[in-house]
Amino acid sequence: MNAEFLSNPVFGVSLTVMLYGCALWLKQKTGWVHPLLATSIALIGVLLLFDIPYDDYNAGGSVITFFLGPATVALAVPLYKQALRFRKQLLPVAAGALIGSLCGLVFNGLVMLWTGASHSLLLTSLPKSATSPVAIEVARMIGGRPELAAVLTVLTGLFGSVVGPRVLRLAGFRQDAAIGAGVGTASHGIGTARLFADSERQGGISGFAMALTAITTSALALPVSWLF
Amino acid sequence: MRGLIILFVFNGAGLLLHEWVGVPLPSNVIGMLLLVAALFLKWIKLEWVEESASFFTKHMMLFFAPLIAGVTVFAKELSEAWLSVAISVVGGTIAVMLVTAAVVRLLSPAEAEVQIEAEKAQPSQRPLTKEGHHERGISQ
Repeated sequence: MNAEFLSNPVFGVSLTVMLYGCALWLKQKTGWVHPLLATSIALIGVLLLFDIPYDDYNAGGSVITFFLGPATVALAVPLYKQALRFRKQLLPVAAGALIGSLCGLVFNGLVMLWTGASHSLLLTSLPKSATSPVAIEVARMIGGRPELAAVLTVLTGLFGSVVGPRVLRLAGFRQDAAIGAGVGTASHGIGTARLFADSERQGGISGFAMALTAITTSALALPVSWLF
Repeated sequence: MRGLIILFVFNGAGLLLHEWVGVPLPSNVIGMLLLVAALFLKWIKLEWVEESASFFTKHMMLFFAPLIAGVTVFAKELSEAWLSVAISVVGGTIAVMLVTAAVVRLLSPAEAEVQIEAEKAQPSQRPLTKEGHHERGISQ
């Protein structure tokens, strides 16, 4: 479809917000619908069905992604609150997030190298365990592609939030600190949101680990990218 | 409104530090760190930003949706490199999770001690909920 109004930002903004509203409603009704997954699938469906070019839609879409900036700054609040509450565990969790995120950067690079992926995919995949706004910025900074980084990051978050708690329990981890830090470091906000639904303590630690991972990934991605 | 202004001011400050001073972190992360520092130094009161911040973190998923829709642009490339993507999403995520959890367990004080410490830190928390979570956690 080619119509003038499609490239008006109002179209992209209202379509996205409307579909997000529907997804929230569905989640409330069913309890298991993942709002982001549902919104994205519906969005892709609409774009494909009506043959709307992504660039046209993104005139409004980019207005919405703009708010990832203040949203990331807003993560300072849970970080501050959790830091006050979990003083004893700060050091172990910080060490876990630092080593875990370094391990993630190197592991992703090695996988891409061994499976013969393109260099740009390799760079894009490095920061995918960090929260999306950070992964997007880091990918841009080290020469990867922001949109693809967002996709890989969300896939990582979804996977971690679905299997994370189970995998950690199977591996014999029982401590809230270990589970929270593991899920938060590996699968950022989407994993954290999942933990919050089960346990305030795990969710809080996960949010803290996620914020630390955002910092360590931003700081370490550039040096690690020189290795590949 | 005050909270919104604070978030944007810190976001803007992050951008300035990134672009002009050349701090090698994404501008939004710089903004986040500055706000954490300001909260600890009591320059910014928690009440000022709490409401706006919780709106943004609660609806963070909305802001990702347009980027995910961008997958359509990369569909061909993703399907060509599906094995790399699958191994790195599945293997990478599990590896990071296990390494992190192992480090935390290695360095943590004993769990019992930690529980007591947490009780002291937030006496308002009802012990019942904790028991409930614990049971649910194991049975799942």
